[in-house]
Amino acid sequence: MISRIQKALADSKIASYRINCNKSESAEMFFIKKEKDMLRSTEVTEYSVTVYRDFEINGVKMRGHAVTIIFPDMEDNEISKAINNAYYAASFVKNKFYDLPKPKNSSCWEQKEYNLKEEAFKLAEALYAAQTPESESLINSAEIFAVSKSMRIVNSEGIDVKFKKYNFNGEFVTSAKTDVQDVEIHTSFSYNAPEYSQLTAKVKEALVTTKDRAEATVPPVAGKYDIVLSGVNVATVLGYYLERTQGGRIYAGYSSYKKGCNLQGENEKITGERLNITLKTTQPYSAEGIAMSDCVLAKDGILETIHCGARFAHYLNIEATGDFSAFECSCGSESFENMKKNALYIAVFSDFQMDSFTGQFGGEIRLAYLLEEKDGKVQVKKVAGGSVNGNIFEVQNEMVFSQERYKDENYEGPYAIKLKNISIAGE
Amino acid sequence: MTEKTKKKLPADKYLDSKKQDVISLAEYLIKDGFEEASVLAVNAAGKRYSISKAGMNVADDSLLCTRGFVIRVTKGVKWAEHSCNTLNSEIFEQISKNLSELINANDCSTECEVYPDEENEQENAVYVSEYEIHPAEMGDEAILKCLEKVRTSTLECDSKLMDCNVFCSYAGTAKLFVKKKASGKLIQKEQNILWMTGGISVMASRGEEIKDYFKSYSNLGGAEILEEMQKDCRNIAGSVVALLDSKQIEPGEYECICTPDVTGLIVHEAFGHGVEMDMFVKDRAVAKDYIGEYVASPIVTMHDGALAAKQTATYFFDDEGSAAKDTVVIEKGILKRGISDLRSAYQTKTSPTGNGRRESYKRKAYTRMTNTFFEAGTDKAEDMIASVKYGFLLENASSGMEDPKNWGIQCMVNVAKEIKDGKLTGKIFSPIILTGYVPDLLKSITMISDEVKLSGGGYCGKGYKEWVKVSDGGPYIKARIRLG
Repeated sequence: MISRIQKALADSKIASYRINCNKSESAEMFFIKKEKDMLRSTEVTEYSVTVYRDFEINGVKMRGHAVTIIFPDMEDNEISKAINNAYYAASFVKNKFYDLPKPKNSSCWEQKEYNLKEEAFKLAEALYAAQTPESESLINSAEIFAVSKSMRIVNSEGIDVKFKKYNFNGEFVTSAKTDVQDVEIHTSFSYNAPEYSQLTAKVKEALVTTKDRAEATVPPVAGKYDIVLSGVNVATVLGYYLERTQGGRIYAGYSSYKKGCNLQGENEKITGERLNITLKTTQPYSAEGIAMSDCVLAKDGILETIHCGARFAHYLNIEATGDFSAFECSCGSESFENMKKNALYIAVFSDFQMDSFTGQFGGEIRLAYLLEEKDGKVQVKKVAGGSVNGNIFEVQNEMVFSQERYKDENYEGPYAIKLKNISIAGE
Repeated sequence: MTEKTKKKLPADKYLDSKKQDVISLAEYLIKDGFEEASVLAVNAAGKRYSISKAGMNVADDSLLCTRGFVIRVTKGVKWAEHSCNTLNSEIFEQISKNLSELINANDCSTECEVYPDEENEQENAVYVSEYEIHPAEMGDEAILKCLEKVRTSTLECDSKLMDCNVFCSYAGTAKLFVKKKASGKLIQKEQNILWMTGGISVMASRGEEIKDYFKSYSNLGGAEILEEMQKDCRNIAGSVVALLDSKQIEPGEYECICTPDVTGLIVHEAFGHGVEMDMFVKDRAVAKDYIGEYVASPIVTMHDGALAAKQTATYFFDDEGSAAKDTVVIEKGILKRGISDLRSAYQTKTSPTGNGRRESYKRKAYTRMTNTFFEAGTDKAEDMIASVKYGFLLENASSGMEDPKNWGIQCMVNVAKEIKDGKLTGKIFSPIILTGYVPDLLKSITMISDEVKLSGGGYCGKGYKEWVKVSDGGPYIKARIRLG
């Protein structure tokens, strides 16, 4: 198909282009309680073609682009028509000129092969292994997706690379019942390799928090609290810095970050942790075909790398890194247990969100533990309901990170973070 | 844009060319021993246009622009599916073998009962939607010019604006559904639907903090929507500038007036997800225990259905071939029934409501909402504001998360305008999180305005995935809500 697309491009005298071929296969399992409610499989190949068209406006060199999708059963005349339509559309896309990526070898990428159906069944075993006859909460339902993606990227500058990657993802719902209430917690997982033991541990933790949620019947008292967040919620908070350091955001003026600036505020006195973040590759080449490698985003809070694809890199006169979605952050020195003292530890939100434009973060509390030290003893109260509403600009200079570590598909770093003096809506 | 005559979409040529292969595959699978075989063939063309400070983009949208097949087979209560985007007689054997393996590995024993439905059993039907201006006929140049005009007009309104992101997208989705039963009956349905959406997102900065205000537009139709976007520039610019002086709200429970978009967010997130009957099957929705009981104020009536309104979630049959409906979910405060996909309807022994929807042919069908809204009441919006001693006018809904098991609410709203002694004071609070217990909120509704507005600019997820186009809305409502 790629040679047919290239022929259509050549026939239309289109000199600058990129072709992305994605072949994906999956094995999917859907459970209700422990029973398999449905099994599915997919096998799909898709091609997208980006065509670039150069022109001038008032003497300024421009490069427009448009993307068209090509399906495997298209006839040659249909392919030509789709490409020519896109080339026509590109003539109205008034973006300043930029260079397309050139070939460059990525560091070694080794991918183990997996049998998708077998791995889906093994992950199901790992998921249900967490539930024992003694468990006070249950797995209500689960979905498992074992996915392989074979990608090839070809462009007019000579890039022709291919690689394969896997993803093992899904979700499960755990439920628990007391005399007072019947509750559930929804948990997602996503791994680049089938992490059986991590999945079992994740389900075990969810079963415990679900039981605790069933015992939590009142919201916290409204007011200001030091809060502790954990796991995926920490990734959401720190993901703010990943988004604000994107070249596209900086070029458009949505972020004032510059190389060498302090990510936690130029005029702020930093009394908490300083950010040490590394951008992590999850594939050898970006969708544009740029060879990707890990790079330091920030050292002691100082921005070292603005990350982006070819267009914004050209505009900002920096090296194109490709688009990153994964990062690693250095841990702190305080223990998770210590951080929770005299704080509200929010273990589960209905949906915790961070708005990288406003810096605002928040969500509804599904389960929190209020730990208060009185007379040398720590009293723990389980609460549910109410909400968190905070802003990163007001707390980023005194963040506390745990020494314990957490890892998922796109984040590795502190398991917990403490944010001070946050507004809580409650009773 | 003077053309106002409604035109009907034509039949889809690609699906016509594949019809015989699709029918042959369904027949092949029945001969191979399956009790029932269905094939959904999809050919969808969708494009997205955007202009912002970061640049211009024109692209076939990978979510909207799809072509492929999903094949489902059943043996008793066991179902299996395979999705692919190549289909010819040479691979029938391989598809059948794969489906056999999947169905044999299935250990489902959940009791099912098929409720025959005459509309679903209609043997041959073709449906198409209407439009005034087809975006593909209008052309890329004209669409981009319209968007540029909207962007320039908005930015000219106030020098404090740092950017205006303007975008639109459309999808023309043709579907062919074929079902063959071992009893010999062949059902064949075709539909072709066109919708278009747009959005204006304006930004202004307050130091490092960037405030934004977003408004979406949508229709069941075509590029006629672009005219509507042009009219709103000044209001949207004014709204984001006003946000620069916004403050954080003092958490508490207040008397609130919700604008139709916030009403829609509450209807959809707080209640709608809880009546998706695949959640009933899993014991994940408390609503199943409240059928026939008061769950809302007696002045509240709620609908969901692909045929309940003409918006972006309108269709004639769902992704499992079930006929679309207008389902009354709450009638005068009483919960009447839920909405269902085919499997959850069979498992709950009820007739399907035509809510079996897929993100694309590549994904499983789940029970999903369509056009979801509260019916109009009899009050005037201005009288409702005048009735508030101290409270807030909530507008510009941004997002929400469902909690069908516990009827918890999490809705995010961009703007709360203070009301004192029945008048807006000009003070604005942002952002706002709505929390609480769904029946408490719905039972606290005391006034409902006389005009319903629906918006279908966004997508709805099931949890954090499975994005489908929906619309929601309703009238202005007055209720007591916990804000934070």
